[in-house]
Amino acid sequence: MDELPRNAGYVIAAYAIAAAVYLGYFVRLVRKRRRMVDGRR
Amino acid sequence: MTVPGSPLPGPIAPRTVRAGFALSILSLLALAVIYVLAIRFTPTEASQGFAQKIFYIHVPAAWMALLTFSVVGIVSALYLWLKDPRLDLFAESAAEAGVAFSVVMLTTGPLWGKPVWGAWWQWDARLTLTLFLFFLYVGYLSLRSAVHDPAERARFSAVVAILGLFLVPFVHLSVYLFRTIHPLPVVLKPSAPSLPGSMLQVLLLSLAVHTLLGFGFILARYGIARNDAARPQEALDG
Repeated sequence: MDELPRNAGYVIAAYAIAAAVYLGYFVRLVRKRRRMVDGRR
Repeated sequence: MTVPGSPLPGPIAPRTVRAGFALSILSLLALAVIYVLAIRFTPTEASQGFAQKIFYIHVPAAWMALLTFSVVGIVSALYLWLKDPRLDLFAESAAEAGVAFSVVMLTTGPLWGKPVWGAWWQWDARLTLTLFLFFLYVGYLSLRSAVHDPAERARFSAVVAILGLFLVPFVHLSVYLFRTIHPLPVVLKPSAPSLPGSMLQVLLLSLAVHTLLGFGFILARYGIARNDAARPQEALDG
């Protein structure tokens, strides 16, 4: 198996945090939308 | 159709929400492609090494944070002039997205700084002003949740947003105005972009995807906010 490049941990952490923030905000919007749909019924 | 007791028309909101969600999902999928392109198909920079790859997500997040905060300030100024509640809801939606992009900017920056500068954080002009801008918009959202009267909330928060707008050019120009260790802009500058071909292509692609993602977030959030505002208050309380 290829060895990871030097400082790969920082890059992986940065990409993971960015993905978590964007997905987290998206999930928050989905929950708000669900409340909106429930409220209309 | 206008909901009684509300100046906001109703039926546009579900369409806006759907469009916002569709755009957000497509942009998130495109972001996964950007991750692969940045990691596998861009050259490793000579002096910074592999850590430079953080640049492909840090710069677009910073671009989006400054863009959305500028939009919040401009739309808030328009609200104070026109008193249209839709402008206030749009400003709130853009501020939320801006705070999300700021979180990415402020966390990925130190993750790049540690291997390249040898320090997580430096109190230099660019970093400090960016942190203050983030605090200002967190305060903006806190203020909005603390004031219950919609007209008062819109007026107070518009003033805060306009103050934030004044800070945005200082953040961008801080690398020229002050002695700072933060790198100079590589794309948004008077001369041609100073990046080799494949790096520039992936960065521009990432900027475009982040811009669409931000637009999708704002559109979805704005549609939901429009729908909430158009409903009678009793329905929201119950």
